[in-house]
Amino acid sequence: MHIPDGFLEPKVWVPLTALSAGAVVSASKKIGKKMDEKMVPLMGVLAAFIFAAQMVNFPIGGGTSGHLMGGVLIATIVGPYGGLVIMATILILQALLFQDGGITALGANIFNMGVVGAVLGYAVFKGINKITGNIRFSLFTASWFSVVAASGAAAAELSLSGIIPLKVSIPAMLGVHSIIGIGEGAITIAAIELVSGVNREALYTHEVAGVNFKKRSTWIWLALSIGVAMLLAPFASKFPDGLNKVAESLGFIERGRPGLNTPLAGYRIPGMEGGVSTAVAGIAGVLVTFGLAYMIVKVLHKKR
Amino acid sequence: MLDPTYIDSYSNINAPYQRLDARAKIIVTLAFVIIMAISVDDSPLRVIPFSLFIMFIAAISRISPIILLRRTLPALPFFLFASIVLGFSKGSEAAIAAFLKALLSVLSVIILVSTTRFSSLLKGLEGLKVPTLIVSMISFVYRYLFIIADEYGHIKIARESRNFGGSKLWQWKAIGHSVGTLFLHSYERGDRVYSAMVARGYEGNIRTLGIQSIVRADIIFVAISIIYLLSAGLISWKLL
Repeated sequence: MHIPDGFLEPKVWVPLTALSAGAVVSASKKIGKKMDEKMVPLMGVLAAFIFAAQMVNFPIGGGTSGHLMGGVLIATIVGPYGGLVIMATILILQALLFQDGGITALGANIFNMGVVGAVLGYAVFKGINKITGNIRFSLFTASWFSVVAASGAAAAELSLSGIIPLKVSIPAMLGVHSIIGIGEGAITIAAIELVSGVNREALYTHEVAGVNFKKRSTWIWLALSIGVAMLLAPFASKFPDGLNKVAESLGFIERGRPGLNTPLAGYRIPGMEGGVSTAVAGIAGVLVTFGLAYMIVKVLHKKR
Repeated sequence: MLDPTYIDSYSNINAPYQRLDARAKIIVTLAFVIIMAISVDDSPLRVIPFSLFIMFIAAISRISPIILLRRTLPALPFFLFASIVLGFSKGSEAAIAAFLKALLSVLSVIILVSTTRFSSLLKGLEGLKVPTLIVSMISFVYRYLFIIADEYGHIKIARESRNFGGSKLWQWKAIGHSVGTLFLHSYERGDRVYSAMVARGYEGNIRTLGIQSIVRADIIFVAISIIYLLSAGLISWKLL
């Protein structure tokens, strides 16, 4: 996800550099105020920890693997501002020493993985936790969201620079990262669970300590999501799927059609018409996603 | 790849570029990357004056070109991939220009970090008003990254000696717990490091003996480089 030099246009990287610089400076001021000098070595070592954790690979099925981003993980450990400063530090070092990400693209990379990945991810965690009161669910959703949103931001930046049309980049990046995000969520839960069981004082977010899984709140959340899916699904069809569009213009879709027989193809239920069909397909999608997430959380929750 | 000596191996050569102040080198590298990013768009010809500049810098730093190119290798696959994608949407000229820009930027950064001792680089960043918190954090990450990456290597060996292998989805929990363990070890190490530092007189900032001084050579080098880069950008923008 690290964007190198040479691919972003000035109209993209200049404002993002200003934005990220402002965010990092105000975050370091914010933690500087309530920080004793003890925090600096600790934060440094934790940044090295996240750097190392980003090299941890995990299987995502089909013989391939993803690797951790760690935005929500570090934000729950040291708070969102510390998380942003740590992500920025790591990205500067990766650009300087490992040729991972460029100098002019540094602002964009800090925005994607620090501002979106750590700060926004942490806000999502806080928000969902407030509504559902379910730490595992909130951690999982926030981690998943942070990876998907960061990849979406990177895709949008590359598209704004004219590298690749938005209709191609967004589905391609989001598709891969929504799978990687599941692994990120699962590993974040397992890591935080282990830490909160051993050393609670180590965590900034004290509510993470003593994780429990409440069933009722899950159902409320499920109902909410179905509601959102029903409301938004009709709009989904107005934005044609990027790959479909490409396939159509290149003439693949005619060749592809006879073999294409997946359930819920094109988010429509066969035999139903228009908006209703799309909404029903949306609900089915939400149910399947929830089922998967629930199963993953359950499996992880099972005590030895 | 994670070998600390790999980064500093060229900083002790006595070449003209190594003798410059770190701040001068950082400013010139930044100016190079930024001016090139702004003035070169889709035409590969505009890259020529910038590649001449990099060749000049490489010459006065006496880094062997083979070593230099070898260090760019890890970054190349992504450059190639992104350029090919770009080639389909904007044409082959834009793709070549983007590839060359990416390559030259990486080369300039590699020359900067491999000709400057890491401690001087940090001092230089501090001198250029990068927030002290960020600079001292970078120095800590640089110190402990290799140790902590090693630590994860030990955890992995311990895990594998207990018949952990292959790649299956249900390994997520074990991997997550390894990450948690790595965190706890790092956290405890951070505690010990702090006590050790306090015992040696740490009060919140790191003191080093090296004193930097900007001499006339540094100012001349920065001025000439920036004038050259600006005019290269302007001329290529007008003529090519």
